[in-house]
Amino acid sequence: MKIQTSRFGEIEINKEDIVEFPEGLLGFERARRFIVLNTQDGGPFRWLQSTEIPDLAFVVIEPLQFMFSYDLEISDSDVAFLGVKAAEDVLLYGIVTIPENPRDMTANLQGPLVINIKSRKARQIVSANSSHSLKTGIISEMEKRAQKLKESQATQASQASQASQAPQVPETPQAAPKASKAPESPKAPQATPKKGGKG
Amino acid sequence: MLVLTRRINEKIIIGDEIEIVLVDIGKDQVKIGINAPKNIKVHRREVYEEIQRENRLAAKTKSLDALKSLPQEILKNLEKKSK
Repeated sequence: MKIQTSRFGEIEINKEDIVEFPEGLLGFERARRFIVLNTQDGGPFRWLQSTEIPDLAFVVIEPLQFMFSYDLEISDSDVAFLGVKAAEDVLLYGIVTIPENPRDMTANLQGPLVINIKSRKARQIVSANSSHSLKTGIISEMEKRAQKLKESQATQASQASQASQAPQVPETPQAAPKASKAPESPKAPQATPKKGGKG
Repeated sequence: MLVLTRRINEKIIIGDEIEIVLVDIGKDQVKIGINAPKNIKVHRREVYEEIQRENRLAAKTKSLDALKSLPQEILKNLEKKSK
C-alpha cells in the first residue's frame, strides 16, 4: 500500500509491517498506526512514521545501540496488553530528541516504545525504574559504553592469557566427537585419557 | 471528587485491592504509601506530562541532516551497529 509522508514523499509499504499503538502515543493519542523506516545512511536510527498523519514521524533508536545495558521491567498489564509470550518477541525503541546542538541529542528511555514483533501491537510504557531518564544522552552513553567495552575486553584478554597457561579445556570436547566418528580407529583410545585429564 | 480527612497511618481502601496509607505529613508535602496489585499502574502525574511534552518536542525533527555536523569519530561510532 502507498502512504503519504511530508518528509519522504509517497512511499510504498507492506500492510503487514504496520505497527499498531491502540492508545496512540502520549500527546498523540489519535496516531495509532506507524511504520518503522530505515534511515538513508543505515545508521542506528529509524523513523517511526505515522501511516495516517503524513507530518507525524519520530526518530527512534534501540537502547542497546548506544547503552551498555538497559533493563526494562514490563508490567503484567503491559505484557497482557501487548500479548507478549516470549522476551524475543519484544522490540524496544527510545524516541530521539535532537536539539540545536546534535551532540546533546537524547533518547527517552523513561517512556520507551515496546513493540510485540509477532502481533505488531505496541505501547509507549512508563518505566518504573527511576534511573531511566526522559533525556538519556545518546552520545555520552555511547562514550561510556565504549569505555566499558574497552575495560571488559582488557579483562577478557588478561583472562585469556591466564587461560593459555592452564590446560586447554575447550579442545577436548571438540576432539572427542571427531574420535567417536571412527570408534575403532586407534585415535579413539587417545581421546579418552584427554577427557579424563580435563576433570 | 471525594475528599477524605485522614491522620498519619490511617488508610483508605479503593475497590478491594488498592490501599493507600498516609505515611507522613510535612510542612508542604505528604508521603503516601500505595499497595496495589502489579497490574495497576501507579505513576506521578508529572511523569505522563513530561513524556507527552518530550514526544511533542521529538516530533519536530524534520530530518537527520543535523547529525552530519557531528565530528567524524562520533559518526563512525553511530554507524557501528552493535550486535
